[in-house]
Amino acid sequence: MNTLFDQFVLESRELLEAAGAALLRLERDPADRVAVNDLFRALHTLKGATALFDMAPFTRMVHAGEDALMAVRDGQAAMTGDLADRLLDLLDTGAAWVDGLEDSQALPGDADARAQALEARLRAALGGPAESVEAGTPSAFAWVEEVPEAERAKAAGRTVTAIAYDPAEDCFFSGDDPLDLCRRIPDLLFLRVEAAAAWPPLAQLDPYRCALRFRALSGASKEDLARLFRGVPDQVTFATLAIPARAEPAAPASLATAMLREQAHILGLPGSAEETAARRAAVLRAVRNILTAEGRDAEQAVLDRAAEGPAEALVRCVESLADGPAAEADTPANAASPARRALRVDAERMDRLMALVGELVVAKGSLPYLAREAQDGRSAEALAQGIKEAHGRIDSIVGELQDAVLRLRVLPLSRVFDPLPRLVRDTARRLGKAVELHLSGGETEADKDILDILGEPLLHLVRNGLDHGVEAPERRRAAGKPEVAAIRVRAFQDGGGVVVEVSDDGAGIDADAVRRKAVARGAVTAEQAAALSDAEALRLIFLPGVSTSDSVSDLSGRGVGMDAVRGAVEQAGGRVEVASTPGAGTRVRLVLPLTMMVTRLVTVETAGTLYGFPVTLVTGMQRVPHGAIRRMKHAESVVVQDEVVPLLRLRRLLNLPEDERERKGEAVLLVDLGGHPVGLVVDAFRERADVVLKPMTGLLARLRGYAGTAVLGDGRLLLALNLRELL
Amino acid sequence: MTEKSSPQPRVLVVDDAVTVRAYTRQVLEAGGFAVDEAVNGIDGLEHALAATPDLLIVDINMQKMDGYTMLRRLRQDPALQDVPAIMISTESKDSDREKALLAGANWYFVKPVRPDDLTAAARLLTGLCGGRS
Repeated sequence: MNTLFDQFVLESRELLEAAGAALLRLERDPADRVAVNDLFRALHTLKGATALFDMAPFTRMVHAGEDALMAVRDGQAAMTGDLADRLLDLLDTGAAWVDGLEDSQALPGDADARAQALEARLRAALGGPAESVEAGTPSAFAWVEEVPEAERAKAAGRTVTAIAYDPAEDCFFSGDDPLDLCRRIPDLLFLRVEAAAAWPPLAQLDPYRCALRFRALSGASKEDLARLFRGVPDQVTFATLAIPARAEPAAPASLATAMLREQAHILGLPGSAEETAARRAAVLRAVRNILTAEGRDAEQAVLDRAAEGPAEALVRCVESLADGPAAEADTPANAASPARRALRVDAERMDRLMALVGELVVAKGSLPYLAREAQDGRSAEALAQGIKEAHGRIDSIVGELQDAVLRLRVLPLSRVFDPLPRLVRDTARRLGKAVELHLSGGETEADKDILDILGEPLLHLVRNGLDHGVEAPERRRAAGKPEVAAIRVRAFQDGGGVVVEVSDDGAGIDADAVRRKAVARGAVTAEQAAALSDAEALRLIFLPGVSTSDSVSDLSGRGVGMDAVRGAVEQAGGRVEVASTPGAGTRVRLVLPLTMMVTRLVTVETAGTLYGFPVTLVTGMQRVPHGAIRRMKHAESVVVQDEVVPLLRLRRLLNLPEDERERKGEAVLLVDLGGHPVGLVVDAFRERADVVLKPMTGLLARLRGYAGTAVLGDGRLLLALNLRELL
Repeated sequence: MTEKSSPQPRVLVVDDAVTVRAYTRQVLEAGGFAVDEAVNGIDGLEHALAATPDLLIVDINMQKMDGYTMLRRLRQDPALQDVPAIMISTESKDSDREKALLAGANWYFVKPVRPDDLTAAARLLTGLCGGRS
């Protein structure tokens, strides 16, 4: 890949993002000059960048956006919601193209048509003089349908202006030159000169009277053409028409197909044995290259096999390759692309890393010196002292290095916040709700992996808040609330983790409705549901299939339920909390570790082995006297802060022998499993530890209940448990 | 024998019009190709024999030796037999296309050729990946 192109991909993404942010600002406050200029500048730079490459539709599309903004900037057009929609369309299309370009270095086959369509819609949104694209062909322009296919192809997939020019009979006397006028039509795609009426007998033909009329198609706009024909406005009519794209646009995908067909055709051409052999060699190489270029290397083997067989087999093979996966041309872009593998690193952080490496090099220098001292027979005591000092220095540098490396992967949460304003805007518009999004704490930092995991759940929570949480304006008014609802997304660091909170001032969650739903879905029995406190009942929404709205909307009904949110967050070693007050709103809180590379674990000892639990799951540790443990049949429970918490014994969960020791009470670790508090009886609490968790591999990978292993500083092995699997 | 061409495939452009050569060079270089030029069929053959190109782009009507003859000769040389070739001409009849293919071309373009089409065709025939390399 060439670096110029990589640079383009990177830069255009940034420009598109900047443009999107400016556009949203502008829509909120159409008088925001800074936003107009930001947006204009971003598009302008983007246009310049696209023009460096072979991607005319991209350039044209961005250019159209730039024009629209210029009109807004110069006060010729207003920033309407419609225009904003069109511009957002443009940015979306641009972003999709950039993704595609990164993948294949080519624009999609329909790029030209899409650019044209966007261009036309932008013009329409600007309220230009009736510039809307007529759906059908007006009867005066029925001739467009009769344009020969070969000519029509030039206009296929484009929005063009059709021109019907019927010069007045006496036009020559007013100095008009109709043919010259027609030849000056910019971007002329088609021109037909025809008799205005049936030809009179030659003797009656008056050469001073114009007997012709002109029909033309041009890629230029109506205004440009009107300017050209300004001398004869009464003799000309225009129509803006969208010429449908033909089945075979000259797109790379179909070019490949056509080329493969041609190669099959060449194989069947007559000639001497020598000639056909030579053509066959050239065809084979061409077909192989086409397959390579198309990323269809897997099919090379098929070709190789056919090449060994008879001539007809090869022809059939090449024909079938031509019919091949051309239809899948779109897939590479759609297949969950490992987007943005490139990581931009703050120069300062890089400098710190360099400085530390420098220090390490210096510190290392003391070791040969110590070795020489040892050779020279220095006392063991003095040597030990020297080694200890060197170790101390190196140890502190390595510690800082580790931290610095971790910092390289740390990014601000604003990255996952970025899509939210757009999501809220679009969704609120669609739902007819007035919603203001408040973002705060975007500067809070977390590991890139955590951000990756956070993205989806965050979108879902905000979507949920918009769809189910926030009421329609009438209902809000009736409830005495401000019509504009608020959705707040707040991030902050808390202890060893990062907290992201999504709250709304909507109707809140009806705990009874959740109970009913959970019972209806068979998630809990009616008795169980009735026994739950309201706070406990709310947590039922994290169970699969329990949703809070009766209507399945196209927004939240996407199969990503709250259980998926919980799943994703827990997979990252975090937890989810929900709180809701009927009538006042809902708050969902995601508590995540700062990084997935180093996991902070609470360690406990049970039956002589160390076990660890992610610190984000642990809500407390308590010594519980035997008397405080209640027993009902085989189930044990304990009351913690007025809440009945089921008690489980780790030894039993792991099928270890019972604890026979004499003791007054139990060591109970309180953990929160997505809203289900559980007390876990362990033998003893141990210290917390930051570890690099290694996943279980080989045979062990199949064991359920283990999240991974880690080696502690003193060399002991620690098993990290996955409580959800265990319970 | 898949031709894993070097990062920059070499294209030999054979045309007697200097503007056409310059234009083609510009388009192809922008598309990631290295370009050699020859002014007629004989010159083209000499260039091809001196340094085997990854692709030939050949005009038809040239002085001294036309494109058809050049391609036919080229296809007789074991070392150049399988080099993919594109012929470009102003003639748009099917019979012209057929003549080009018979002479040994793999693809035929009618002038004028859009830069995108030319680059796309060159990429396909040289196996220059869209970015999958």
